[in-house]
Order: sequence, then structure tokens, then C-alpha cells
Amino acid sequence: MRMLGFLLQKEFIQISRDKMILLLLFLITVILLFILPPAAKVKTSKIALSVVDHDRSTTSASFLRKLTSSNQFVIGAYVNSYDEGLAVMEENKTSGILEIPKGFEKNIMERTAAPILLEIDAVNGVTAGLSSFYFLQIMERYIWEYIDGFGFQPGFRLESQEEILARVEAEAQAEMMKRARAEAESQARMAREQSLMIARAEAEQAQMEAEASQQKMPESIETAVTRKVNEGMGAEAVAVPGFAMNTNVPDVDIPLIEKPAEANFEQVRMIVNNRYNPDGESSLYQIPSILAILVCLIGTVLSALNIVTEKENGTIEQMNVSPVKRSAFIFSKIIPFWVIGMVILTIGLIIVWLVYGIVPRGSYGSIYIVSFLFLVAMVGFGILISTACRNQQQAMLLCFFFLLIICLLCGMWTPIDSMPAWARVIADINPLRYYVQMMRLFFAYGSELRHVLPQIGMLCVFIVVFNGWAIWNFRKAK
Amino acid sequence: MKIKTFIDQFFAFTQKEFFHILRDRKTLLVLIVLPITQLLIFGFALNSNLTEMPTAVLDLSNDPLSRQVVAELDASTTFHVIGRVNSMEEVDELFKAGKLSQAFVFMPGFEKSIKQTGTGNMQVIMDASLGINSSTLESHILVILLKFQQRMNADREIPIQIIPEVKMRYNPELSSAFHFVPGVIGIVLMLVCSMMASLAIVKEKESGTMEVLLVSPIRPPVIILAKLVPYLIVGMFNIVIILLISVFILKVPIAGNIILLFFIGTIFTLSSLALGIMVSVLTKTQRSAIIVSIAGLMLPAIVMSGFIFPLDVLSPAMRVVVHCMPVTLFISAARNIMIKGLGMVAVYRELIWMAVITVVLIVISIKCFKNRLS
Repeated sequence: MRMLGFLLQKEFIQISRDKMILLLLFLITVILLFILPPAAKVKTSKIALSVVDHDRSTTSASFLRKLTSSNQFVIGAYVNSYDEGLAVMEENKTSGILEIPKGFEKNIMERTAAPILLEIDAVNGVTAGLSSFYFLQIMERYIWEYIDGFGFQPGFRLESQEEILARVEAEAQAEMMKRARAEAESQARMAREQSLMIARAEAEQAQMEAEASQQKMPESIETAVTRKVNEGMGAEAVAVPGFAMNTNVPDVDIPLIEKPAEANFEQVRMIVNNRYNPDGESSLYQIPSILAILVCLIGTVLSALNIVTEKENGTIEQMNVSPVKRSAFIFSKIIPFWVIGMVILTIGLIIVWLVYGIVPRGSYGSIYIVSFLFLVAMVGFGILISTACRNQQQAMLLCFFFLLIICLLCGMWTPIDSMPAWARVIADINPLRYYVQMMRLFFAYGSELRHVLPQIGMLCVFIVVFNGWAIWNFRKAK
Repeated sequence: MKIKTFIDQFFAFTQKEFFHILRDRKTLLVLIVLPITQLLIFGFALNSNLTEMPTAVLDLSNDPLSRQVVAELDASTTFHVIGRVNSMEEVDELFKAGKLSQAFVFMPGFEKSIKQTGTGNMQVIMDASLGINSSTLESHILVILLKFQQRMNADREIPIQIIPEVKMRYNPELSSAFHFVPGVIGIVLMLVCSMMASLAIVKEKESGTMEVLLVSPIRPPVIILAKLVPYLIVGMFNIVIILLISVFILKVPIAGNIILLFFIGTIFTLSSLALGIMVSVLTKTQRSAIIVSIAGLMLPAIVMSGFIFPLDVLSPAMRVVVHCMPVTLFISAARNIMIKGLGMVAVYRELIWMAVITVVLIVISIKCFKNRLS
């Protein structure tokens, strides 16, 4: 035990003399924690479309307005043909082409099927799937609004009854004025066409009036319904205590089926509650995970280069002829890296708190306990690599090979559940996976230690296996 | 005359470097096998399609309709209902233990509400860690709900119809590999190349052979360029094998010009080597070079290269930073050529930038190398 104390003293003196390495570690931690989190954004951007509008009608224009007012699509370019649209897309300026064929308005007016073509850049399957889904969703909403007479409103929102009445009246007046003027003009020109014009104007007006009156009825029902639903929700929120705490968290509501409810139409509305993800960018999860990976990389690389450096310098021979026990020797090598790892973690947690304002919902105590266990496991892994290699280059290659696999299959980038079975096995024996998961649970969910006992158990298994293997693998005499 | 000595020196020195690498057969083998193994692992393992996401149901109304909705959701491949719970606290506990990716909550009187008012509310509580996948899950839920609704309202007809024809260009089956394979190629190539080059000069410093170089008449540019050449050839060999694997084993076809792709890959390899050489010139020990090239480069290569996170949501300043990394440029160019089948016009910007970055890195290396000579 006293021997271990002396060896530790020697290691710490050695480390503190190599200021370059310490500075380097500090710089890497700080720089990466400044540049990585802004790049690790998981929100989707607006999808830019090249629009080919062959119809150029009021209906197609209102459809496009509806599309852009949704905040999910923007129009990147208006082009004249599909080929032009493709050219724009190939320059990566847009990620899709929307082609509205000729006769779109006519088809809708005549109540026949109106085709519309959307082509999406699908290199990233996830975002492409989402784009197509958003498009269908907006289209669905557009259809219902069109039916209910909102079709020509830019920037749609739910209006109160008075507003609707006022608008319909104003529209009708404007329309009549316009028509009167047109009438006067055409009267002056041709008498024969005049009668035709009037006939058509009358027909359209009649249709509009019919639509307006049609919409008044369901509208009044709808407001009543909304009130009733709201009342019901309020009452239930009191009845179920778990929900009281959620009321101040803004729920993100995807209003797919947000058409005015009619008594004979039954719908299930989905309310999405991103309770554990307040900013919608998962930063409560992403930023601590990046810190976790950083701690993993630094701890492993540092320890993997340790004994192998002594081998290369030949100083290991002195150890071999000394009466130092090999477990004491290994521990003297391991313990300094626990300290360095915890210091880096602390610096990282301070940056995460100061720069991004992220504090865990759980306690710092449990984060430190878990991080310490993880570091013990990974440093053991590093020392194991170190004992298995003859020079630093080999250690580097082994480190790189395992660390890239550990990093990419930790479940942070793609879900582990979707991996093939053999890759899930790799993920199961990946310590980082458990650590990242626990960091997420502590930061985003406010878990306590008792929630993560299985993960802690796994870390303990790794600790025993890696460190035991490293001590066993380290032979003094070759 | 001067140029001739330059060339002579260059060839002689390159030959020497070749011997170094060829003699260390084991390392050479590792350098070739390692990227291949990683490409195979990641090419198959990285998949962003969601299946069997663990779900809990808190059904406070427990009426036929809510049970039916749950059964519909459970029947899809996306969701797997792991259990029914009785209170919000239980849902919280499951989330805190990391066992859930989402929970469905039905308020009391779900069916009554639908029958009377036409609307029933279903609450979905999402896991924060799903990121972009949470939107995908929402869309899956909505599609299932929509189908369910259509069956409930089968008798009501919709007066107007817009028939959308949605085409998935470049990747009709929405395969994850199409997105990930060019990224994996970029990351693995970059890390292997910069790692190897990062030892090239610092190793000589540590083993003392640097003194010999310093007193020899060989000039710094020759040393640096000659160090790059053998690794560049190993890198080009790697590119060929990697492309063969991605086409024949991972089934990601190369839609564009393969020569162009190879050319861009070569420039990219060169830029990664230049990055490594710079690290090698600037550090004093192998240990610090290795720390920089693994701990310092691996995370930026994954996070900032557009491999996982889309680049178009970044702020303009961040976008500039991100595009200073050759791997970002390469992944974007490789996707354009491999998947989209575009030509020179689509990738010349990336190519020029990569070349500029390479030259800058090499010039910095030579300049800093000179400083140490004096």
C-alpha cells in the first residue's frame, strides 16, 4: 500500500511536468464543447421546393400559400418546367420539386380528381419521409379548408364568427363592385357577350352564397364543440394529478385534423407532449452526451498510451527488476487518469452550465458517481490496450478501431433498437452506451440512482472484466 | 539544376519512406483491414428506420374505442406496447428508468367524447433523445390514426380530391445505407489518414532521427511531401477497396462517374494527410499527436460533417466553420456523385475548396517546420 503511494506520487509528478499534454486536454475539451453543440441540432429545417406551376390559377396560388404558411416548406425557386426544377435541385438549392399540372383549378372546381406531383430528394430517407408526410398533412388540411370556404385565405388561422361574417360580407361586396365594373365595360363593348357574362356572374355568386351559408351552420357547432372540449380537459386535469405539472409546459400540437368538426365526423386528435425535450432540439440530451463521449475518448486514449510509452522508452525494464507488485504498478498507472477524467468532466459540466444553461434535473452527485464508474471501466480498457501493444502506433490504431465503434454504436446517433441483431450485441457490450443513456436520464428526466441500477450493474461488470484482464495481461517478464 | 536536385531528393526520400512502410507489414495490413472492417460494421449497423419502439399505454378511459386505437398502434411494426400502466407516476418511472421511447395517454371518457363531440384526444409523450426521430414517430402515429379514422367515417365522402404523386428521387426505398455509407467512407478515411500522418514527423523527433534530417541537405518541403506520398498511395488503394465493398456488399450503387469519385477521394485523402502532417509538425511527442488526432478529431468528424446532423439548419457562422473541414466537403460531394449521379458541375466547389484547404495546411506545415530548423 505504501508502495502504491510512492508510485502515485511519481506518476503525478510526471504528469504535472508534461504541461503540454494538460494544456492540450484542456483546449480540446473547451474548443469541442464550444463548436460541437451548435452543430448538433436535430430539428428539421424548412424544406425548400422548386415550384413548377403550369396552372397559374387562384387555386394553385392559394395552395402554394397554404404550403408556405405551414412553416415546413418554403419556395426556393419558381421555374417554368420540370427540367429547370431538376437543375435547381441538383445544385442543392432546393430539396424537392412540386409540379402543379395544367387544369388543377378546373379539376377542383369540377370535383374531379386533381393530380399533383411532388418529387423529393431522398438521399436522407428520414427527412424525405417526413417531407412527404408534412406535404400530405398540409394537403389534407387544405382540402378541408377549401371545402369549408377558407380556401382563398392567405395565412390561415381560425377566425371568430364575427370576423368570418365580416370577411364574407366584405368579399361579397368587393366581388359585386368588381363585377359591376366589368359589366359596365363589357356592356360598352359587346352586347352579345354581356348576357353571357351576367349569367356566369350570377351563377358564381349563387354558388358563393350557397357556400357561405353552408359554412355558417357547422361553424357555430364547432365553437360550441371547442368550448365543450376545453371544459372537459380542464376538469380532467384536476382529476388526474400527474397532469397538473404539465399544464405550464407548452405542448407541441400537430394539428393534422384541425378542420372544423362536424357532428357526423369522428376524429382522434393527437396531442404531442415533448415534456422531456423543451426546446425541440433535444439539447438537454445532446450536449451532455457529447460531453460523455469526450470524457470517454480522452480517458481511453490517455490510458492506452501510458504503459506502452514506458515500454518504448525502456523505463519499464526498471519496473520489472524492482520489487513492485504488478497490481500496485497497474493501479499507480490507472488512478491518475481517474483524476484527470473527473477534472475534465467538471470543466465540461461548468461549460455546459455557463454557456448553454443546462443543468441536470437529477443530482450532480449521481452524475459524478456514474461518471466515476464509467471512467474506471474505460481506463481499465485503455490500460488493457496498453499492455497488449508494443509501441504507441499500435496502441493508436487499436484505440481508433475500438473507439470509433464505441462512439458510433452508442445509440446516440441511430437508435439501437433498429440495428441488426449482431450490432445490438456489440451495443450491449459497449460501456459508452450505458453511460450516455444514464447521462440522458439524469439530465433530461431527472432520474435517480435507483432507476439506473441495471446500467450501474453493467458498468461494474465492465470494471471487473477490463481491469482484471489488464492486470492479468501485464506480465513483468517477457 | 535546382529543380533537378529537388526532384532527385524527393524521389530518394520517397523511396526511403516506402521502405519504412513496406517493412512494417503488420501495420500496413492493419491500415488496409481496419477501414474495411469499420465500413462493413457501420454500413450494416447504422439504420435510422424505427422499429419496435417501446411504448407504454396509460388508458384512463379503457373503452372499446381506445383499446382499438392502441391495438392498431401496437399492430404496426413501429411500436411495441410493453405494458399498460395505471398512473402518470408509473409513466414517469418508466421514462426515468430509460425503458420507454414514448407513452400514449387517453383521458377518461375517450369514446364518449368522440361520440358526442366528434373529437377524442390522445396524448403522446415523447422521449427527448429521439431527436429528429420523434417527428418520424409522430408521423407514423398520425398515419395510423388517419387510417383508423377513415374506417370510422367510411360513409362520409370527401367532395374534392387532390391526388398527390410523391416520388422519392435518388433513393426510392428510403434506404438508410444510401445516406450513411458516403458518410462512413468520409469519416473512416479521414481519421485513418490523419492519424497515420500525425505520427510521421513527430516519430522522427522522438526517436532522434530528426537530427539526421536536420543536418542533411534535404529541404523541409521535400521531407513533408515525400512523407505524404506513401500514405497517399495506401489511401488510394483503400478508396478502391472501400468503393468495391460499398457497391458489392453494402449494395449502394455508384450512380455517377466513378473516376470523378475516385479523384475527389484522392484529393480528400491528401487533405486529411496534410491535416495529420500539420498536427505532426506542431506537436512535440507522439502522445500529444495521438491525443489530438483521436480525441480532437473524431467527434468533430462525426458531429460537424453532415454525417448525422443536417447542415442546413446551422447558423451562417457555423456553416462556414463546418465547411472548413475537408470531411464535410467530401461527404457532400460523395453523396452528389454516388447517390445522385451528378457530374462535375455539382461538385467543383467542394473540389476547389478541398484543394485550397490542402495547400494551406501543407504550407503551414512547411512554414512551421522551417522554424524548428533554425
